[in-house]
Amino acid sequence: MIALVRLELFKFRTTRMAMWFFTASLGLAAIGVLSTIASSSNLPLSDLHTEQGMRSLFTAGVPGAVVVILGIIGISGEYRNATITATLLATPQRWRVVVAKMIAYAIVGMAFAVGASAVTLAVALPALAIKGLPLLLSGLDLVKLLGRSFLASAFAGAYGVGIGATIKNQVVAIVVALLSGIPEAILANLLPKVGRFLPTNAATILSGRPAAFELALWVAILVELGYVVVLNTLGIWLTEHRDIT
Amino acid sequence: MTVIEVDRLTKRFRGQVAVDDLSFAVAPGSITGLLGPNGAGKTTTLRTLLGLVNATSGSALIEGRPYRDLEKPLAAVGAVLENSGFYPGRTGRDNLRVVARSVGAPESRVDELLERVDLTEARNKRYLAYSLGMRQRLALVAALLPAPRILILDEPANGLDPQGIRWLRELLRSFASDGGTVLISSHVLAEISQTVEDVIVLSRGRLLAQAPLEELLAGPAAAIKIRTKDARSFVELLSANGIRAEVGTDERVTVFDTVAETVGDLAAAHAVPIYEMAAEGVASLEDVFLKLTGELPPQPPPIWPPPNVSSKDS
Repeated sequence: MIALVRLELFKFRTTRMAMWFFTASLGLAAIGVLSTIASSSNLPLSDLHTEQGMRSLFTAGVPGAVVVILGIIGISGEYRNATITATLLATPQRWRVVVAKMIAYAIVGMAFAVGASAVTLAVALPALAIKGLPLLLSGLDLVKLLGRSFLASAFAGAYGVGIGATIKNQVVAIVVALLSGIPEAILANLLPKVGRFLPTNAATILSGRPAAFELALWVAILVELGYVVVLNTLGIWLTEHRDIT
Repeated sequence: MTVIEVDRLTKRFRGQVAVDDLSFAVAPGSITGLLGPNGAGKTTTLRTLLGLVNATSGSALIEGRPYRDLEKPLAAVGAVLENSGFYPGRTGRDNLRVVARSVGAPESRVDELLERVDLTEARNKRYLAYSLGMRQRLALVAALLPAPRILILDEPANGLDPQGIRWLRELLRSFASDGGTVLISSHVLAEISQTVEDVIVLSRGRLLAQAPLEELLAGPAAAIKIRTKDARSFVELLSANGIRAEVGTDERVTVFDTVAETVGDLAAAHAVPIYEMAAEGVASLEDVFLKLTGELPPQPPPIWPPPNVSSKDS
């Protein structure tokens, strides 16, 4: 399994897409931080004179959607480019391929979050110093916050693989992933008790960003884990029964 | 012992029958051709053997096991399929490195094999920039990289120029002479007639025949074409002697179910001048079908390449 995960990471690294997405996510992190600082006087949630505002600032660059899309492409791209044939010839036990991808894209997600965090720190700390604003967070708080973003991003990668394994059409899978937030938001507003357990809210809680509905961190972790397991189990079942023609 | 064994295999795609109760076996060290028009079920059969398509019923075994249960599948079987599974945005060399990694082959072997198929210069080009011939050569190299015991090739001659086809033929022969087993599909008999020993003929997903190629090509269906002075009276003479013959639109006589000696002797005895006489062997898929079923293949082969072109290059 370790060899398979390493193979998936190698496959990811040797595509051009990897570099583009990585650069894009670093850029988005920088933009996220800068826009949070710029809007801090207008929006109460990102008021940098509050601890909440500081939390928004340091989580603004968490690469959530980007990593979900990477996970989706990681498996649906194999169908799109017909590389799935070679992949399954090498590893005919299909569940092993999906599990390896799940782990690999969790690692990719974490790596993206590490990169984004580095950019966030590199932009935010000098910017705060220039503005003369105190950090308001202890070093431990900051480490915890970044740690949560790493975890959230790892889940995002595994979650993306689950979606891609379930919906093999890449375009449909990405559209579903991006648009699922709309019905989710409607449902959440109608039934807040259910809404806080929906993927977007749980992922937001996990990442440490300001979420619409409160949820304990450990519950959020369990909920996210649940989504990853359910989606990937469904994805594995479908993958096992698919004809690769 | 058989290396490949297909037993009562049936595959339906949403009710559409692609393979219908098909059984055949391939012996070790042989080169076997899977022959049939487009839509005969060749690709489905090969993909089922490789564990890519789930059988509706029956079994398709490699070395006595389903592909999915093989311990090191790529070391057992090298496969070249349509859509060979290379990532378009990755270079040819990196694509091969992926294969090398998944089988634990050293990376030095990648460069060595690229050299052997003349792809060294193009190794750092992205796969999407490769020509069809380069893609086929890369696919063959990828299949050979883990040094498999069996090669399964689906229409590998597609996209290869005559030189490439010759190269492929040499490669398969040396692979088989080293004890390897080859199963190769084609809808053009001429492409494989100089390579294969045994032929499995498929039609509409069913087995039409499995026989040595020589056996399929020989026999009474072979015709003899003759150019003579008076075609019509020669046909009458032949018919009077119990030999079936007819005059074609080109004013040539076609004689069936006999040998050249009989025709020549008869002509000499009656002082009929013969300007040209040529025995026509079974040369195309159409002829094989005509011989086996008395009908043309159910679906016409593609317009290009023309079905009756036979390679006469060796």
